[in-house]
Amino acid sequence: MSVLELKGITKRFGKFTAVEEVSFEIREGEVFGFIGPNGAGKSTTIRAIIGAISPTSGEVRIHGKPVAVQPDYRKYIAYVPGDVQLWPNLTGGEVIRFFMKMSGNADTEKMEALIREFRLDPKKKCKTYSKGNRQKVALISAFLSDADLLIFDEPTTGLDPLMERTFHRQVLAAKSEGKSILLSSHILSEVEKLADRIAIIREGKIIETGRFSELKHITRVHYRVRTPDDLAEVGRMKGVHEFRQEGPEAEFLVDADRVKGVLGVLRGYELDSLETLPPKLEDIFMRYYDTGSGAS
Amino acid sequence: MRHYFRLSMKDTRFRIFWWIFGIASLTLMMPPAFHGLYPTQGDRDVLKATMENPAVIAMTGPIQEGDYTLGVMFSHEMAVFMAIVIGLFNIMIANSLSRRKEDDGLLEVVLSKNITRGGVFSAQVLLGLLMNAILALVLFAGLQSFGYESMETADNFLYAAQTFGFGLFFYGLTLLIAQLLPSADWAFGIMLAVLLLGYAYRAATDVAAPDLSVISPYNWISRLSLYSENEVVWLVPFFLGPVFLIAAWLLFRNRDLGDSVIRLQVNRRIRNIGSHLRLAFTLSRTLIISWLAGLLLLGASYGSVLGDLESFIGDNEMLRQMAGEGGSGLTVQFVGTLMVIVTIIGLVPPLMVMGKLLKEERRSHLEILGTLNISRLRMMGDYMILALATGALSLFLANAGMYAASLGVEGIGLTFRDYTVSTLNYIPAVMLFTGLSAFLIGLHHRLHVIVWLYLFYNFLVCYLGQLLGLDDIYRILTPFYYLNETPNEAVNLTACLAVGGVGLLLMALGHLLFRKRDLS
Repeated sequence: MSVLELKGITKRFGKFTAVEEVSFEIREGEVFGFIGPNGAGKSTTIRAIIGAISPTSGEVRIHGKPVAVQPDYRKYIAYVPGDVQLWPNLTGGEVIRFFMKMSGNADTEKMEALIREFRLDPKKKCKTYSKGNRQKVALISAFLSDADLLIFDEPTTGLDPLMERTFHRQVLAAKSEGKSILLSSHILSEVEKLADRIAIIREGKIIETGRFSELKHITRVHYRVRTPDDLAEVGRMKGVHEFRQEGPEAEFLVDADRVKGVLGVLRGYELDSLETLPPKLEDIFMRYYDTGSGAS
Repeated sequence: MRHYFRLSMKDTRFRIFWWIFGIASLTLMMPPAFHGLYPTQGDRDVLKATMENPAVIAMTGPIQEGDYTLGVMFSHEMAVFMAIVIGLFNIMIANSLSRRKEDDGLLEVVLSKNITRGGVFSAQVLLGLLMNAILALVLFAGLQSFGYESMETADNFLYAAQTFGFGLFFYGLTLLIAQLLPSADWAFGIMLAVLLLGYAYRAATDVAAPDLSVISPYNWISRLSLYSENEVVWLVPFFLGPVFLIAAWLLFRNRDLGDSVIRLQVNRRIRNIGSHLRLAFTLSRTLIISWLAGLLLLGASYGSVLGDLESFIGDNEMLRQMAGEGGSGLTVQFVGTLMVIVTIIGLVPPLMVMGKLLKEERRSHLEILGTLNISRLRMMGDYMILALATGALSLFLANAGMYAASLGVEGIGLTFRDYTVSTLNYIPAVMLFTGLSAFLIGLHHRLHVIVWLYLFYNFLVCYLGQLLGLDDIYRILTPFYYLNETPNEAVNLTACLAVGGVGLLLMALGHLLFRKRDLS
């Protein structure tokens, strides 16, 4: 059964439509990636889920029941906003303890372990924390809660790479406990690492939903090649974009469904090195815009 | 510097405009009003006789010797009172330009952009000079335009000059305090205390020991003898304003950003905040405690005046007759007026507590609290409980202060019970204002300012109405028209129930609206 289900969520602010007919579901024990550029409607969707705003139309269902008939549905949710604002005059430890009290959790051992793992100094007042440290407070609180749906909005923007790894570890640990995770981000590689399925939102509408592998057709693979040969031939192939070659170094994008053919042709050249760079969100969107407008 | 000045100007110009507009129109409304109400010297002399008592002196400062001309009347009733508003104006703007910007991390950004500390500070100073100069100019031009006989150019100029001096004094002091204390909230709190306690101190000493009053800047305004002797020399102490500015610059030049001269870092044990009510209280504790202390002091300073009032009435045959009932009637009547004023001031902290809820919303804390399964009902309800409790305690402490300070006075004939009954009588007003506040918050996150305007209207009508003899018609829109004026009238239970009932209704509506409303 799905833990969370959105059915045709639309939210209008006056004449402006922030999100339109957004639908997806998250199953038990699943990490769900929710990606899109800034201002696409990710946060609006999340705010509708947590009840900060009510959708103009559509329905949010938790554990199969509309939230309208279960006013206390938020006990199933733990949420970490993108820009965490904490109470400036409370210490991080005080905030974490308050969050625990509110969600009826008293596992101080786990709390201390998480504080250690995220390397947080809980005795400092929140106003002295950097963005990353404020985020840690909220993340620790979320991982401590008994909620079975964790919602993270751009969770790693303030974290250093080491802490990012800690976060990833904790997400996988939560998943192994059977919790579901909604991970909103504009960084594709992060979502790719963690998410079982993704939804892509653009200008308020979901444009793609599915497993990452199923969505390969809309992505492009970014290659960087060192070769003494001239690759202009490759650059003219169908499905190859933004081809550039300067001396021995060439870079280009290949539509994911054309990779096979391009690699076949490349085999005929003398290659010193071949690097595959991780796909970026922009590349997906570039492809989407290209096909959307009929150009290539 | 020029760019930063222009930027700060753009950032604050609307606020500055509304302050100047408000202060100027409130001030300039008065001379024609006084002229209409008391057209002849005879009328004004009669008024002066009734005004020459400790109660009025406590409110407006001592009355000057000589004729109570239109100009003297205007300056006596307005200058000291408007100084509070002008002080508040300067404190808020100075704090928002200095410490608030620093707390928000904006100064850091600006200073990294090739703008020097000197540039930042001169922009702050320049804006302070400019806004006070514009206010003074507007007042001067307005007063000149009336062309009243007793309000000559030199008089009007001095009136405008003291406005400028008083404003700059508080602007400078705020900038100085902003360097001394560790946050904008602290700076604002301390400056507000200086502003209000300075007024309360002046009120008490003007009546009891006029020589000691000179410490308070408000008293310098009285000593200027505006519109009569024009003792220009009393402008000199206002030069402390520039001195504060220089001191502030010396401190600002050498300290680290975010640091302060006085560090208030106390290493406390970890508080265990186990409920939303507890959280709400923790967030508003400083505010609540300092206002309660302030109201106790305010009540006490008013109470300390009552003794002098008593002996004054005893000496004055005419007033004794007016008062009847052996002379204590007038004091009791005066106590009744004071209780209304104290109640209106006591309504500020509950509204500020309700404002905390909006602040929580603005910082998107309510979103997080929502996902902790804390309902909107509880969020608003807890702040409402705090607001009501704070309001009730405010009234009680102000009344208790008044009672305690007047214990030594014989013949007032008011018992502690009378003061308690009076507290209870005005609690429906607390309910009404809290209810209106909740209703507005429920309606939209930007509407809360209306309840403040309404409170200010109440204050104007009840405070100035008393001095001006305003028609009762203006009071119809305030709860004080319906609630009887204890202790000189008995409690009107029906009115209490009605006002309190409207309050409850507004609270319920506020809850309903807030539950459905989108968070900002």
